[in-house]
Amino acid sequence: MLESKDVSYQVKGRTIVDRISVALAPGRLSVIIGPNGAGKSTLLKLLTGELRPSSGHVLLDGAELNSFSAQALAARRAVVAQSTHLSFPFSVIEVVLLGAMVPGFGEPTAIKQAAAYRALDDVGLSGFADRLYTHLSGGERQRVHMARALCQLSTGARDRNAPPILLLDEPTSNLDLMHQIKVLHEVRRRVAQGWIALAILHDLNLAATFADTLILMSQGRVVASGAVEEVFRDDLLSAVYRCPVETNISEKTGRRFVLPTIPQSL
Amino acid sequence: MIAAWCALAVTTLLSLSIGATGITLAALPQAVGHWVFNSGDAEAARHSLVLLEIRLPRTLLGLFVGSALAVAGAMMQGLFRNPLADPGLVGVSSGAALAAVATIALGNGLAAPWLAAFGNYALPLAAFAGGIVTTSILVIVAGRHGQLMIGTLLLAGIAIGALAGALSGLIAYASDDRELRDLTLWTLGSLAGASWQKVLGITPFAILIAIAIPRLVRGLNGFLLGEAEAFHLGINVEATKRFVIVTTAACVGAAVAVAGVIGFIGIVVPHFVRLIAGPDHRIVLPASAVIGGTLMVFADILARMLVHPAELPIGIVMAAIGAPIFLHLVLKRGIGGAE
Repeated sequence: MLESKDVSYQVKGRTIVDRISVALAPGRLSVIIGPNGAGKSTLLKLLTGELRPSSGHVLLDGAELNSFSAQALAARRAVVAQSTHLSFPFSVIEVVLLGAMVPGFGEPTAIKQAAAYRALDDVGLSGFADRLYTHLSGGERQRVHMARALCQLSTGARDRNAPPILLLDEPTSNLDLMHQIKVLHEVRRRVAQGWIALAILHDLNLAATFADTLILMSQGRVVASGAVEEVFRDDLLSAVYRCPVETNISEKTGRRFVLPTIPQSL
Repeated sequence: MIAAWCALAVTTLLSLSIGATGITLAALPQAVGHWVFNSGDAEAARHSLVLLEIRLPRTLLGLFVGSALAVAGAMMQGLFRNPLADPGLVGVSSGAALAAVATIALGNGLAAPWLAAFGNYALPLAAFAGGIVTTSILVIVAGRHGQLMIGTLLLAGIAIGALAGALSGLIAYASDDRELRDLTLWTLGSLAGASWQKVLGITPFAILIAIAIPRLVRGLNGFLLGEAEAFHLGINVEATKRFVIVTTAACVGAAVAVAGVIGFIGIVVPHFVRLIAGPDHRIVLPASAVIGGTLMVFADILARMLVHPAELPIGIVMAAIGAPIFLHLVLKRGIGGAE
């Protein structure tokens, strides 16, 4: 269980994250949604341990997150950041294998190599192993980092009571429709095995399709959280996004989706 | 890697052979024979002396200085995530040189206890300290906003380098110390003053650096993705950063203390290695060491041969080789280092 308790984060007197409590349980995919500047990425960074909270606690299995070493954390959780800049010409497989290089886990063994190739397969990049990372498109690069995170967690030590944790900041922002589905499907597949997963998504319909729990953020606070039907309310979403929206239920599949209402004056 | 080792062996032999007293490659075994078994004629004896007292320490110094500067360059490029970083270019070498020059100039005054305490090691240690201070300033200045700004880094580095260079020049100009009269050593670099004393002075540095490098490669690889990502991958970011800074300063300090400021080798060699073998530091660091040593000894041979019987400062030779390659890099990649 990874949770935040009353966590706040301030920088230069500005409160970015304001007393947020969320609990990420094994076997669930939580998805954070909310407008730009709501504090979504900052909350995620607090949960990775990259940022220290100004007040409140981030707890991993009941213990303070910052009591774990970087190495111990890396064996347990992997992160895909919003953007990762890499200007050295690594091959794709080398970048993925960086995920397997957690200090203390030794040189890439045959098992890790196999895990790296499997991870590439999972994100639809089989055959890209020897291509140069610097020559890939934005969407392909994003999937390479997803594969790196999957590889990191598939090679770490495994304990039934300590499921792996995936923290993803807009993992599908550069992807085409097919690959958005593919990547989130792979996340779901792991969640079904008991992994803990949290993703920030901007596409509300994608979020509704894949999330077990939606966390709606606005101005550093959690405005609503729960199952899709609890969060997908016209008034709530319209107010938070400052844009009139209508929520619908598909007649064919019963799935919920959101459409913005375009003002007549546009 | 095998080719690199072969090149190293050939260049070393040539370096031992070429000079004011030509010792043909065929005569080398005789000279060594004289040293080991006291055999051979008077010429072998003379060759043996030249070899032992002049060529061997000079070649060893060249190998060390080249390796150290190339490795320092590779480490800085990893730390700053930019293939254009170089200890000579961003002022670290100048900072180390300033500390060394100040130590010599104050040898009879303030720095006397320091010299007395550390003997042969006083100069490399002072230069090492100068290197640490300069690198730390760079990290603080260019890393203010959490991310290292390459533009700020280069500009701040140039400013620090110019300032340190000017101060070194001032001290040398005002000094009557004979060690300083030859300013070219500190500004253009030279292996001409090679002696066993100097070799001895840098030996502990060489050993420490050799021990440190294998412990750095993972951290540096992780750093290439960014500091946050390195942390996600399980690297203790702050500790690794300090470790890299200290090791880089040790390389640069020791090299500058014996050979002055020599630029470009830290850019040219790692760049060449990455072209051939990719950017993985597990290969880049050791290969840079071997090829850096080779290139330095080769440049030293050129420095001794081109204007024979006089010799060029090796910094001029390195600049002639390195500057065009650096320009090519800048034009190809843009100043940000991005593709």
